[in-house]
Amino acid sequence: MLQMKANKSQKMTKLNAIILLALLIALQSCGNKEEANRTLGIIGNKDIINGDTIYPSIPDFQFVNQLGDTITNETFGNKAYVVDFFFTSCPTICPKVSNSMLTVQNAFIDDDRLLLLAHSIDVKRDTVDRLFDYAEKLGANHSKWHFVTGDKMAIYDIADDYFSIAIENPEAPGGFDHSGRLILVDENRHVRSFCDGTNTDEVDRFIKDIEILLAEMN
Amino acid sequence: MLRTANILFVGVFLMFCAFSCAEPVDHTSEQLYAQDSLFKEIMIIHDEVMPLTSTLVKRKDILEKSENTDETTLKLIQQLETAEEAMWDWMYSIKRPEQSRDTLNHNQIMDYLNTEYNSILEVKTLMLNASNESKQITEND
Repeated sequence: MLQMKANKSQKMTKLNAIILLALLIALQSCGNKEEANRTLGIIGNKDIINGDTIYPSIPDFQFVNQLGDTITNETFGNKAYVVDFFFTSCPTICPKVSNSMLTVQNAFIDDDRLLLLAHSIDVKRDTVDRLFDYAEKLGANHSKWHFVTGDKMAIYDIADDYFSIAIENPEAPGGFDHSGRLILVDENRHVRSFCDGTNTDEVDRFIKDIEILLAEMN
Repeated sequence: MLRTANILFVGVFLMFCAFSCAEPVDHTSEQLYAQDSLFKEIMIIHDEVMPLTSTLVKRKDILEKSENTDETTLKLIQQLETAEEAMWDWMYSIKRPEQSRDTLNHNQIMDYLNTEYNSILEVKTLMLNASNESKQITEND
């Protein structure tokens, strides 16, 4: 009698384990489906003008990269790109954020539709040569990842453009100097996603967002 | 002429020996901990005031574009420039403890870090003063 009870109990435990496993698989596949169906909206406050919906977009710019080449919006024409702000002598968060940019570069190294744009906010010290050395040490691909310098206020102003679209309050404590954020811009100059470049989980999610955007561009 | 060249050669040779024969400096785990802790304290102060840099840059730009050439404005522009540059210069020159451990002993590293601690406090004061003094004028513009 006791033996029968023990066998029955064992069978029930096995059955429970199988049901639990099935539930977990079902939940996982639901999650994957949700991930696969995820779309990226356009970030920023939209305006309705004459019945047309206008989303905020990144204005024209012109900087110089680590090779001494002029970089403008045309450089990023019909491409998506990831933006960050840094400076080569940054003692704290920039090295982490640059490593996240490197992760993004390497994840899409063979995909010409994605470029990277890193703006130095220390234009006085970050010369073209210094930017080149920094890019080399990081392992940057010079045709994919542009490290730019230029007119100081032009860089600060465009930082405000990127961050005012991506973040509700760009004047919040810990402004862009130390925000460590990566921003994803689409081929129409619209901000589509952003993340904290010091947080590996967020960077992983951000990379998935880039995949979604690139799939949308197909 | 030849004698000078010989002296120069011996001098360079001796310097080469001095550097190549330098023993790596050992640091105990307690010393490493003390160095890293002090460096962290320095960086906490840096992280606290660094975000003010963009505020100072923007206020200086507002004042420069205002075309006011009175003494107060010019002095304030200079004050903002000095404070911002102090932070950039400090960041440009600061060295992490691990960058000096092969050549400096513990006391030398702690002396360096204590000097940098005082330097970043001075930078903080410059930045806070420039921020406070420019706040009202730039907000009135």
